[in-house]
Amino acid sequence: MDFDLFANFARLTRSFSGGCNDSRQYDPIGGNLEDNTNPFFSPEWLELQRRYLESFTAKPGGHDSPEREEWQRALDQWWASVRPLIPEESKPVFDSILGRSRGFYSLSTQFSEMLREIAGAADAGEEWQSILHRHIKRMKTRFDESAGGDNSPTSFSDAWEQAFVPIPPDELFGGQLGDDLQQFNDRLLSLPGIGPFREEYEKVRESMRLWQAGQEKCREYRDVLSRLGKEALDRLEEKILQMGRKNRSINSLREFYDIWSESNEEVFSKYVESEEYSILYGEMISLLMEFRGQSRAVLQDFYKQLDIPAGREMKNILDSQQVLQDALRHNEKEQQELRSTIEDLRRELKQLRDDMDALGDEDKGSRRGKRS
Amino acid sequence: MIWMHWVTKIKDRAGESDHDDNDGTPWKITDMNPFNIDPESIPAEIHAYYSRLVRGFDTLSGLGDIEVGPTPKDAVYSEDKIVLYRYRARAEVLNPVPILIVYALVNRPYMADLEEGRSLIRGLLDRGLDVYLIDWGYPDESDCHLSLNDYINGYLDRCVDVILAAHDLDRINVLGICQGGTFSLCYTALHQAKVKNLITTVTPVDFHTRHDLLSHLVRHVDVDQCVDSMGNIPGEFLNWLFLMLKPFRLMGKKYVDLVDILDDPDQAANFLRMEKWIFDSPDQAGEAFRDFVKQFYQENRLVKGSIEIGGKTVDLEQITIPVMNIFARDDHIVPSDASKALAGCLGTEDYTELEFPGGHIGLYVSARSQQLLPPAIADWIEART
Repeated sequence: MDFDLFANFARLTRSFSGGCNDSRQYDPIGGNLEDNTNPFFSPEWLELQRRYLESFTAKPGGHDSPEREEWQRALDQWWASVRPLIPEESKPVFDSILGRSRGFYSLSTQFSEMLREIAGAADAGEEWQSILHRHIKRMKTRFDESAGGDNSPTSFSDAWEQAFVPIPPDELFGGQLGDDLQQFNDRLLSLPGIGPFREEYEKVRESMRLWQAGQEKCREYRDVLSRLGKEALDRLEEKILQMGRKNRSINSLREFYDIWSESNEEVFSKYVESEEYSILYGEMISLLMEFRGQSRAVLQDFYKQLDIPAGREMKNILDSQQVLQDALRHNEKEQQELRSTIEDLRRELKQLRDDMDALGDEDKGSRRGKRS
Repeated sequence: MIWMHWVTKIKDRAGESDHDDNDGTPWKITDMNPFNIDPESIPAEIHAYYSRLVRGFDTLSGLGDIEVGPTPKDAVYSEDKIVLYRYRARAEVLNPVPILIVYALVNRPYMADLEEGRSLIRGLLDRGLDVYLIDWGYPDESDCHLSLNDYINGYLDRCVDVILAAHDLDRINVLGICQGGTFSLCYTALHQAKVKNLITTVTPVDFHTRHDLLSHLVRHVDVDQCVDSMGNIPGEFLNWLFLMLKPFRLMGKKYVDLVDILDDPDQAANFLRMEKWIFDSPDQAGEAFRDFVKQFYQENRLVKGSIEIGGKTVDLEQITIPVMNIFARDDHIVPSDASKALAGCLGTEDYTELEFPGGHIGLYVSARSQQLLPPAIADWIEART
């Protein structure tokens, strides 16, 4: 069944890739890419990739081209088709590898334009440092654009987040932070237990207030991350300039990615130690938890309306259970101590009896001695 | 095509541009262009990366179930969700006093027995020690009331009693790992008559040292709000907390680097084994989490001698038995300074400190540690038995 899925996908992609060129020409490590025994292998998808890569090599700004969209779509389809082949336990790891690899890919394409310009710096009569600086500046601007609400999937900060994921997962906080206010409001008010009564309405209002405050804090957190992302770009520039001074070279895109990753880590590590971050992080988590707690309270009211035991009732039961368990353990311990005392007394008694018997024997012996 | 480019153009202004880089040092146009990357080769590099990724997925998916904790063991006692294991001897038991390993509540204890070639437990067994380990299990909603008192004066104490009874001894050796080391310290301070020697490994003692990022992260978190709204603290939440200490390396670069080793099934299996351990993160019993974060991380009461567990004060100065304190030099979760603080807190005159190179996890799984850590512990105990 899973292999059928894969085969269907292969046919599908073949139909719109317009035939398959020899993708082996792009495999500098020498492996045979057309390995039909590898269920993850898709020549059509690689062909789309090749076309996309060629498109951004051929023209400036190629990373926003239709070929990119086509390739991204094919990648999504490929992943949807092969994911069922993966053992359940390993799926999260595979997801992480693919997710980060996509990030690496996005960033690589973002950097390619800069590298092309730097390569042609001498011909253009421009210093490579100036080109580097100009591109770093542009990347920083893209962070600002994103912070300003540009949700374009190709935005630089999205690629950065995709590569490193430094934001809290929404599901930890009830999975509602991704909603907009209207969605959240609708979801709350659609609960059958939410009636027109003042007390319930107040709880809903409080939930909405906390939701907004949580959103605001998350935004603040993201803004800080964007700021750090920009600082990391400055650090990256600094590192590259230093490499120039020290006659050290960057030989591949991966090396460049590593330097950038290191720059991010350095900037982030320094900031994590600051009181500002500690407070921001603490406030964000506390607010999100408060929101989660309040949402839970609203839900519990809903369950109560339906006569379904909810968290509060369960908590009472668990409280009682804990008290009983403690009492049970206490009694067990007391019993054990009593058993131990009884055992000691038994031993003592036995010893006394043995002693008495011994005394009796001695007494008998001495009487016999006297008689004889 | 190898592409290298030197800028030799000299500007009018004494060889310097008018641009200052970020460290304030003006760059010189005579500086070498470090980019030795042919733009034409970028597609090939990306393509090669994805080719390796696809092949690597095939390797990974063919590995099957990842086995951990291979050393044979027997459950000798269980209570609620905890299990006390005794490992089967691999050599003649030379030391009559067993050693109990107390692991942290965070993550799973098979870190001490990850695989055959990477196992602290196996190393100790090979040196003639009789090894026990407490597995705290996976707490669920019914355990949300468990407090530190339940863990330390309850489960841990009863496990110690079981071992004492089984061996007809008055005292055993205790080895704590990370938070388990902190538990062991508290336990020893409260029940010293039952502990012969204490070994702590990567154990936080001073929770407010300068580079303790974990402490820094939770310092302003309203832990009451967390526990009240979630009950137990989800393992995923803690995972995220730990990963946030080095997000770019642990959540980004690690997976990109992985693609380089995926052709090798052994290396790929090692990676999956570590991933399994990292994300095998039990939920934390709410009350114990509240106690631990507040008293230890936020108020730093262990070094102040004011921890309260079960109505009793934990005073480390009461510990007069021999103590060995092992820590990792490059530990980013428990900085070595946080462990070293133990030296000034104890009442014992027999205190040994041992620093290992590497990080928090490397202490248990690195090849070098396998050669050094078990003999160091075994020899130290042997000298005190």
